[in-house]
Amino acid sequence: MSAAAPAFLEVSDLRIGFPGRAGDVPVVHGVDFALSAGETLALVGESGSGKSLTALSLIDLLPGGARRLGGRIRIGENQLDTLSSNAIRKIRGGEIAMIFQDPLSALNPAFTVGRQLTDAIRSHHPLSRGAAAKRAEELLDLVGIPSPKARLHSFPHEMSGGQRQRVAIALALASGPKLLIADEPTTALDVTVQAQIMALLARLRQELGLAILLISHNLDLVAEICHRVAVMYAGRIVETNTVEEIFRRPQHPYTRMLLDCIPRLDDRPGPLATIPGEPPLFGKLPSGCPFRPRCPAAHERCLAMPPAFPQEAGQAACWLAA
Amino acid sequence: MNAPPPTTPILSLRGIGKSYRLRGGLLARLRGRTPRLDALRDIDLEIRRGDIVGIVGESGSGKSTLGRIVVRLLEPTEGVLSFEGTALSEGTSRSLRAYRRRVQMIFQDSGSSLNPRKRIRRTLHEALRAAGVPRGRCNEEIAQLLRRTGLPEGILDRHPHALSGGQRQRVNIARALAMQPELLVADEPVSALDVSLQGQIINLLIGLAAESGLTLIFISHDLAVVRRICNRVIVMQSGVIVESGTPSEVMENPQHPYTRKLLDAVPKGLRESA
Amino acid sequence: MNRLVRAFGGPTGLIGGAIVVLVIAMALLAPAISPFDPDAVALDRQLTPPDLLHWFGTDQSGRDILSRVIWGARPSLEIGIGSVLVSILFGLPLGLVAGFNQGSWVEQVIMRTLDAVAAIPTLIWAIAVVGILGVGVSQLGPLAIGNQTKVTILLGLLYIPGLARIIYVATLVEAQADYVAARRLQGVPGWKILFSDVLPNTLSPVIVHATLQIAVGIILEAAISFVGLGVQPPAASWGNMLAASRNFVFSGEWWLSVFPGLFISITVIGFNLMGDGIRDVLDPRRKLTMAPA
Repeated sequence: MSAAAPAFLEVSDLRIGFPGRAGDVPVVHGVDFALSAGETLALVGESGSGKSLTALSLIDLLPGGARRLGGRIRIGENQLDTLSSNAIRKIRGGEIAMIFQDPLSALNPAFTVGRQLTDAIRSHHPLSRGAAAKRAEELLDLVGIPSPKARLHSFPHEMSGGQRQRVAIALALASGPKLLIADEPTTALDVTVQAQIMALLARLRQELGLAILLISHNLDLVAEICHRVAVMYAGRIVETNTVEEIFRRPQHPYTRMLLDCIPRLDDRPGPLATIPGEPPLFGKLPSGCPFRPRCPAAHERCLAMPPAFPQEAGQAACWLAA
Repeated sequence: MNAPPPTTPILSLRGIGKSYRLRGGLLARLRGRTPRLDALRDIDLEIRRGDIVGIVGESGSGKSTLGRIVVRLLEPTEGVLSFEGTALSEGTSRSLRAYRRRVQMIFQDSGSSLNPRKRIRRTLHEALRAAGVPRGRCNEEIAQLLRRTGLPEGILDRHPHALSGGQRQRVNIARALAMQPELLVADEPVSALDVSLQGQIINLLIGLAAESGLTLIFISHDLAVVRRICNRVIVMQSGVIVESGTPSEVMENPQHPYTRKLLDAVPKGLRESA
Repeated sequence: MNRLVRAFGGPTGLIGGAIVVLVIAMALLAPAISPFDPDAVALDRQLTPPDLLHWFGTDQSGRDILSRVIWGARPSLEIGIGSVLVSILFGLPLGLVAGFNQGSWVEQVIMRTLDAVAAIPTLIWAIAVVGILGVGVSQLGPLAIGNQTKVTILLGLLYIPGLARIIYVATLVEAQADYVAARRLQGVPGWKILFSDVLPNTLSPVIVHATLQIAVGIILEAAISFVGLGVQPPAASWGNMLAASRNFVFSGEWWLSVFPGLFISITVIGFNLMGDGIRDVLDPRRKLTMAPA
């Protein structure tokens, strides 16, 4: 992606917290990233890294009392924090769409696929029922559902997991969004189906010029379709770079270990590589570098002071990174 | 551990099948022609003591059904299952209970593998009591289980929802170990965990297997993991075994098109081959 | 205070809980707090509107309405709570056994029988049966069963299908859980798993349902007493007070009907708010949303 094109989405210094007994407990500590049309950015990290919260804050759907403590989010022309919640709802339904790990959460079991699609289309475009049905059929065709016309009359429970995710994607596309957020979209699916859904996302990005924000815990999985990767740890982006560079020259020890611990088909038999310990609990960050307790290369400086956040590609939030 | 002669497999399955009768319409039922669904067909399998056998396949392949038949949570509708040479199909409920203690299962961390209302101490205590450990020795044994599974003592007085996914899986393993099983069936034990934690749990399992001579059946959809830790692989599709062999045979020279399809679908990332 | 609010699932739940506690306290303390004997007839003070002596006025026999409302809380609550206890006594084991034996004939027999009972509207059943048995004391062998007990047991029996179905569904879900499978693998007998693992996990919906059902019972008591088949005069109940006020609704003596009606409404609202609050507290999904994603 050329740096000249203005990014469609720009997030800077995003901070999110949960209400606690003594004030808000921050869990996302200042996240910056940008995403252009036709580009795929992967937010990669373990559960608890804040990757899902970051994504949910973009559509103003933070769960369980969590709220934005600060930072700016720009979507297209709109600065999210200056908008009324009504205007945000419009953007959420229109320019941004999201798909989730469990497609059933996005589908209503009581209505046919066709009914849900036409309803979604008509809520955004002034179309007749017939025209909307036609458009629904096109959408199903676009996401690779065979015999889309017949499928309009199916209920979600009559479809396989992979097909449901395709329908959920079609539903997300109904409003004609420019940004698609995909939160672990294939985690609940079989391996072969997973590959198909990833290929579908890549095709949609290309055909529709979508910007895609992909949330995942598996670097190998996102590598095939994303351009850039932002690795998150304990509520911060610790390293961001093009996917090629992340794989060739990972700067942060966490990135390196994350890559190493995904088993590969051509591995020799033996125990698996791991990252020792577990990610820190919310609001209980260790002193200094948050990754220090799990880092094999930690030394005194890591204990004393947290490293600076990366300002540009190729940098990492680590004292040891070049 | 005094192993019996290596010629007797610890577990052997002969022509195991499992089918369900679907409800069907009233007419079909009256004619005795309710439709049948075959979840498993003609499964022949021999597992030797100390083996780590990987069963791979996708949803609907019957791999979980097979796992549940091995521990006898499900009854096969056909075939014979023998444990150390003794057929078990006609077991009384008493002998079934005795068998179940020798085989245990690790479940996927689906949020229901541990009773949400019981503190971890109680869950482990009950397992030990069921294994016949006298009340007075339970605390000692619980401490031992925590050590073996790498859990801190502090989790004992917590409820499952206050544990991390990795900790819950360790408790799951500790609960199974409390029964001192000889055969352990692990059904997708790490698929709900982050990649970064999967290795910890899998290494723990294979370490325990090596340490106490456990036989392990590892049900997974992750071929790369199976490749690394198993000495035998079984590939299942639609209720039948389509391919089996050593991991290197199956992964490097797959014979069945479905095996090839599965291998192709594994995300490769951008790393160059080692 | 904050903890109290949380324990009742929010401010409305707390209000509901407070109403319930007050009404129950009122019923228990009736001898101490009622200003007059509820049954004392005073022919010189018939149908007096509310004043400083009789806050709620008096009825056609000169009895103090406030005292009758206070005493009348007793049969209303006794029938409301008693009938729910009766339904739990029978519905809980039925639902558990049916749910734990999914696919067997036991499940079929229990659930189809309950369906048949549930097909008949509760109120019509109750009125029909009391009407047939008569409102007097029935002699069942050595047991003398008064009319209030009759209504309580009858309502309780009629609640069974609803309650049993709730437990049945909860049990079906729990019986599929892996922790139940783990207990089976430990060689624990089925009945023991049912009581020590499944039952505690099915109780939350039961508690919520029971609380809401008490409110229904209070309304049904009023309805049955209103048609003259419930608590028999001269004993006071909210339902028969309403019934007695029928003739005065259009002649201007509003206090005869308004006060018992008001207390029925407040109590029913109290139990409903408390039930909703308890549901929020016990709902595991609420806990899930509290945990960061």
